[in-house]
Amino acid sequence: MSEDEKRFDVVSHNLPKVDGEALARGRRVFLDDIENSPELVAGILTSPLAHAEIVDIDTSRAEKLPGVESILHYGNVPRVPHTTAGQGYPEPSPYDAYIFDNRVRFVGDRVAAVAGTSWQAVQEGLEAIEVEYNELEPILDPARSRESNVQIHPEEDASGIYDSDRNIAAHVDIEVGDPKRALDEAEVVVTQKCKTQFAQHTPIEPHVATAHLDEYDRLIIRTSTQVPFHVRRIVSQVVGVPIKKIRVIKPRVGGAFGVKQEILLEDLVSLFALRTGKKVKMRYTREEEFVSSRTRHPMEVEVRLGADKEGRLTGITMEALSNTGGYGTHSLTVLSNVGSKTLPLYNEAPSVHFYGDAVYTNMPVPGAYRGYGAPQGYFALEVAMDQLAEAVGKDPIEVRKLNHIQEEETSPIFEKLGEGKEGTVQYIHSCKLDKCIDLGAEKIRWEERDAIKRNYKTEDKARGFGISINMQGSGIPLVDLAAARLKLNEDGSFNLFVGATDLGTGSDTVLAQIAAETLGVDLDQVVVYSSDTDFTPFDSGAYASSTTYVSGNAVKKVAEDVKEQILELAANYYDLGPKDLDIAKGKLLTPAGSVDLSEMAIKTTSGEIELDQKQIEATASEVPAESPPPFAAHFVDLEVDKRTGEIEILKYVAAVDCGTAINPNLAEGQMEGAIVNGIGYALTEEMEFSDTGEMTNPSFFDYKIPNTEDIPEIEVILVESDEPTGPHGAKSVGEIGIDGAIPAISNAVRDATGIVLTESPFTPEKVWKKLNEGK
Amino acid sequence: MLSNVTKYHIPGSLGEALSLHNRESRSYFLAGGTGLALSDSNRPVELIDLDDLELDELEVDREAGRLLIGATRKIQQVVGCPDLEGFADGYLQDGLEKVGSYPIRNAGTLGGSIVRPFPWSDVIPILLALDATILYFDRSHEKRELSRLYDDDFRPTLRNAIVTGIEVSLPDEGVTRGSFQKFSRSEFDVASLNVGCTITERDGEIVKARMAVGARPSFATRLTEVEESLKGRSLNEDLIYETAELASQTAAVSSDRKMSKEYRVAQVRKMAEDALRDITSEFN
Amino acid sequence: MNITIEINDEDKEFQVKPGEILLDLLRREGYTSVKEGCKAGDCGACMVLVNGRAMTSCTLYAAQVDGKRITTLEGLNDELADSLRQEFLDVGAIQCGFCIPGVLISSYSLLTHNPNPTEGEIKAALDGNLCRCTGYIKQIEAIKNVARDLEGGNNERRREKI
Repeated sequence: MSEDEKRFDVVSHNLPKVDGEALARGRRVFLDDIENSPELVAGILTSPLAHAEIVDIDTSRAEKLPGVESILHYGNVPRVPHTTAGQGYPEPSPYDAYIFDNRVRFVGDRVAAVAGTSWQAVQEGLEAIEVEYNELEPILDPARSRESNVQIHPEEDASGIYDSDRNIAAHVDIEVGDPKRALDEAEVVVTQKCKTQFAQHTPIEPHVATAHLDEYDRLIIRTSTQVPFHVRRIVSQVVGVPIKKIRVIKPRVGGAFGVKQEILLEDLVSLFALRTGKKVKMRYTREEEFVSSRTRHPMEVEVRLGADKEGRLTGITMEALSNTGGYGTHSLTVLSNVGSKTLPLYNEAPSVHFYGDAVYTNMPVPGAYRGYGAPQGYFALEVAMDQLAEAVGKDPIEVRKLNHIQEEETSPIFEKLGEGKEGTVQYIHSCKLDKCIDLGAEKIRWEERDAIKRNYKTEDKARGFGISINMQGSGIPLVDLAAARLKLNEDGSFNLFVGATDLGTGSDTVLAQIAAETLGVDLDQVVVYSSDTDFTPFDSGAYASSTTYVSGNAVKKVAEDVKEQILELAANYYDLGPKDLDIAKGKLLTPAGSVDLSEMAIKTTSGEIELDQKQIEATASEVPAESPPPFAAHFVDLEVDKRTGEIEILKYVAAVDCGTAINPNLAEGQMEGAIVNGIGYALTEEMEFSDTGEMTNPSFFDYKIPNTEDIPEIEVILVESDEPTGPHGAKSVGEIGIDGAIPAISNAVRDATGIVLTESPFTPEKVWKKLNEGK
Repeated sequence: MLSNVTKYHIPGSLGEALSLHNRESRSYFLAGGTGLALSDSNRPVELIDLDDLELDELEVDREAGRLLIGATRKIQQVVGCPDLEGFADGYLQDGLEKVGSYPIRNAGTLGGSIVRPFPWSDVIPILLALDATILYFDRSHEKRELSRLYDDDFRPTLRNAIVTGIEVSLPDEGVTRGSFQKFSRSEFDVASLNVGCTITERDGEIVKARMAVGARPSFATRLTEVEESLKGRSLNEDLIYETAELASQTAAVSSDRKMSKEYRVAQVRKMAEDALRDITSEFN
Repeated sequence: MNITIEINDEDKEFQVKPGEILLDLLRREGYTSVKEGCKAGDCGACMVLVNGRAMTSCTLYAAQVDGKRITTLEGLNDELADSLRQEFLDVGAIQCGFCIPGVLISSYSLLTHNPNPTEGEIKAALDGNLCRCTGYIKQIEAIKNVARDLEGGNNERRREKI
C-alpha cells in the first residue's frame, strides 16, 4: 500500500470505473446504439476541390428522389460567421466558418447535406446534387500562403482574423528580457528547426449526433462531444434557436482526443430536425472522419538556445509557423501553447522571445488535439537541448536539471502568454521532475548506456538512448468554469451532477472518487450524472487537461459544502457542535458511537421531530486561478537498422508527476494511451496528400496507428506530488503523455547514429536517406 | 453493402457454380469475402458462395513433401494446422501468419488471394517460392504453375474458372527450408515489399532455390537469376552478400507513395540477406 | 432472402438482402455491441465469433453465415467471459469502451483455444483490434491475469492454434 493509499480512503485507490460494467457488457451507451433507428439519417456532400467558388448548386433532381426529405446548402441556411471551436465565450478563434458558404476551402469541406429515410436514399440524394464550381488557385503550403495574393478568407463578414490579406489567421509575439542580446552574447548558441506532419486523432467511434424536437418544441441534441455547453451555445448562435430551447445530452463517448471539441455535425442535425420535425442522425464514415473532421496543426518550429559554457540557458527564441488549413479554429490558442506549454519549463533563461503565425491554406482543418501545440514545440526544444548538451560536453540529463523549473519558482512566460491572450502569474507549488528524471533514468539504465552500446555487437544495428522532459497545464486559468451539484438521498447515497464530460478517460469515476473521499463515503454511494445541459450545471468541457483539476475542485467544494450541511443538521439533532461530528466510511461519527449515514439521511426527508425537513444539496463553481503543470520525463531505448533506417523501440519509460493520482490505474492508462499515440505520431502516422490537396490515405488500411504488435515494452511510473491547489493534491495527466515521444525518439536515434531527425514521422526511408547523406 | 446484388447463390457442385458464373458476367465468386466486402463497387449483381463445395481440404504428405490446400481453406486454418507443422521447415505457416490480422486470416482464403491477386499480396510470393501449382476447374480439372498467374493467356482463363486449390511438391531429394520477409509501415499493414525464399540443400549443396519479390509495388515475380546463381553452391556469409546484391540488382522495382525505387532496392538487398541468413541458421 | 443463424444460442431467421453486410444485419437486429468503427476490416470493433472463430462482421455477407453459429458480446456470459470482464475492469483496461466488445471477443477466442498464451501470442491474437485510448498495455495485462487464474484448472493446451 502506497503512502497515499493510506492517506486516503477512496482517492488514490484503483477502483473500477463507474461506467465500466456497462461498457464491458457492450450495453447501449453510445449514441449510434441508443439511436439505432432514427426517422431520418443525413449525410454531407463534400468538396472535391481544395479551393473554389460555388457558382451554382442545383438540388432539383435530388429533391424528387424517393426518401429524400430535406437538403441544406448555402442558399437556404442562415449565414452566421462563427467558429467551430468549442471554446469558452468569447472564443479566441476567428469567426471564419459558416454552416455552408458559397466557397470551399479544402477537399472535404461542406457543400450540401441531405436528410432522408435511409442511408441509401441519402447517398442517392447526395449524388444527384449538381454543383458548378469556379476553381480557384489552391494554396497548399503555409510559407507560400503568406506571400500569395490569393486570399482564402476574403469575405467581409468574417472577424477575428489577424491579417486576412496575408492569410494569417493568428499571430503571437511575446518577449521577456532581452533575447536578442542574450543570444548575441551567449557563449554557446544552438539552432534547431523541426517540422511536423498532418496527423489525425482517430477515435474508434467517429463523430455522431442526433437531434429532434420534443413535445414542447425544444431542440434535443444528443452528441458524442467534449463540450456539451459550447455545443448548446454555438448551435443557438448559428441556427437561431435560443439557448433555453436547446438541450444537449452527451452519451458515452467512444474516444475524442480533441477532435470532438468541435461543432461538426450538431448544427446540421439541428437544422434538419427543425425543418422536418423528425429525429435525424448523422455520423461520419471513417473516411469522412479523416478528411472532413479535424487534424493536428502541422508546424515548423525553430528554436535558438543561448547558454554559457556550463550549459546554463541565457536566452531562448522560438519561432513557429503553423498551418491552420481552411479555417482558423484553435489557430491562435494552439500556436500560443507551442510556447506557453514549453518555454516556462526552462525558466533558467531570463530572456525569451516567442513568435509565430498560424496561416490559412487550402488543406484540411487542424483543431484541438491532445497536447495542443506542446508536442510541436517540444520536438524542436528538446532536440535542441540535446544539441546544447553536446556543445557544452555534458550529459543531456545534467543540462536539463540545470535549467528546468523547480518548486516555488515561476516563469515570466506564465504571465505573458496565456490562452490566446495574456496569461496569469503563477508559481509552481509541486514539481517532482527531478525525481521523474532519476527514476526514469534508472529504469532505462541511462548510466549504463555507454557500456550497453559498446557491447551491442551487431554491425547492422545501432543502439541509442534518448530523453525528453515536458510539462503541460491543468485547465485554463481565469477562463474555465466548472460547476458541480450534489444532493443527498434518503438512503445516504448522493447524486453528483457535473457538467464535466467523460470521454472515456474515466473522469466520471475520478470525480466520484473526489466526492466520496471528501464526503467520507464509499465510491458506490455516489451516483454520477454528467453532461446534460438541462440537468447538470455548467462546465467548459473536457479539454486543456482540465477535468480532474478544475471540475475536480468544483466537486471537492460542493462535497465539502454538503458534508458541512449534514454535520450541522446532525449536530442539531444530537445537540452537539458540528466539530464533535464527522463522516467516515459512510458512517456518521458521534461521540457516542457511529451510525449509518442513512439513518440521518432518512430524517432529512421524513419529517422527524426536531430536524428540519430539507433537501440537502449544494452547487459549487470553480474558476481556477492557476494551471499547475504536471511534469514528465520520457526515456527511449531503441535500435536503428543501419541498412534500412528502421527504428525499433526496445523500451519506453515515462515517469510523470501528476500530483495525487486520484485513480492510479486510470492515470497510468492516460499515460500509456498517450505514449502509444505519440509513438504512432513519431513513426508511422501521416496524412498524405495529392498535389491537389486531396488526402490519399483516408482509412486505417493506409493511415497506420499502432496495434498490439507495434508497441514496445512501456513502463509508466507515477511520481506523486501534493499539489496544494488541486483536489486532494491532484493535477492533470490527460495530455502530457503525448509530448515526449517525438523528441525522445529523435534524441535516441541521434545517440545511436549521429543523425538528427527533424521531420516527423521518422519513416524508415527518411532515416535511411539521412544515414546515407554524405556517404 | 453491395447495393446492386440481387442474387446470392450457394451452388452444390463445381459445374453448377461455373454455369451460374457463365450466365451472368457481373457475378462474383465468394470464398472468404474479405476482398469483395471491401469494395463498394456497384458492379457485382450476383454472388456465388463456394462454401458448400467442400473445397477446404488440406492433404499433406510430409514424408514426400507434398501438399494440397483447398481454395476455401481459411488462411488461419493453414497457419494453425498441426499436420502442417514442419512442412518446408515451417516456412509456409510462418509466412502465412504475416498475412493481414488474425480476424482477417480467419475469414480470408488462399483461393481468394489468388483469384483477386493484389500486388501487395503476401500469399503469392510465399507460394511462388514453393513452386506452387494452381488447381482450377474449367469444365474439367486443370492445373498450372502459379508463376504463370499473370500471363496474358492465363488471366482470362482464370476469370472464367473456379480455383479449387493449390498444390505444392517439394524436391524429392534434400531438405527444403524457407524464409518470408515482409516490410510494412506497421505490423497490421499490407506489404510495401515482401520476399519469399526457399532453399533445398543436399549434403551442404544447394540443389534448388526460389526467390520471389512482391509489392515491387507491382505484382510478385520470381528472381530467376538469383535462383540460378545459387544452384550448386553452399550457403555462407559471402554467398549471402553476393546473392543479396544480385537480388537488389535484378528485382525490377519502382517507386510508389510508400517507397522510392532506390529505397526498395536497398530493402530487397536487406530482405534477401535476412531471408538467406534465416535459412542458413536453420540449416546449422 | 431468408437465412437462419444460431445467434447467442438462439435460432433466428432473418430476411436479408443478398448484398447485405453481416455488421449491418446484426446492428439493425439490435446486437449493438457490434460496433461500426471503419467498415473495412481494419479496426475490429465489429468482431463476432463465427462458429467459434473471431472475424470482423463488416467483411462478411449476412448470407455467408446462413446456418452458422454467431456469438456477439451480448452472448458471452460464461465464466471465462465474466473473468475477462472483471479483470479488464480491475486493471483499468477499459477507457472509452468502444473497442471493448471486439477486444473481448478476441480475448475470449484466444483463451478458449489457448488458455496459457505467451505475451507474443496475446499480441498476435489482438492484432486486429485497434484501440486508441489504452495503448493496449492494460488489456494485455488483463488477459495475462485471466490466463494465470485459469492455470491449475484445465491447462491442457490444444495443439491447434485456431
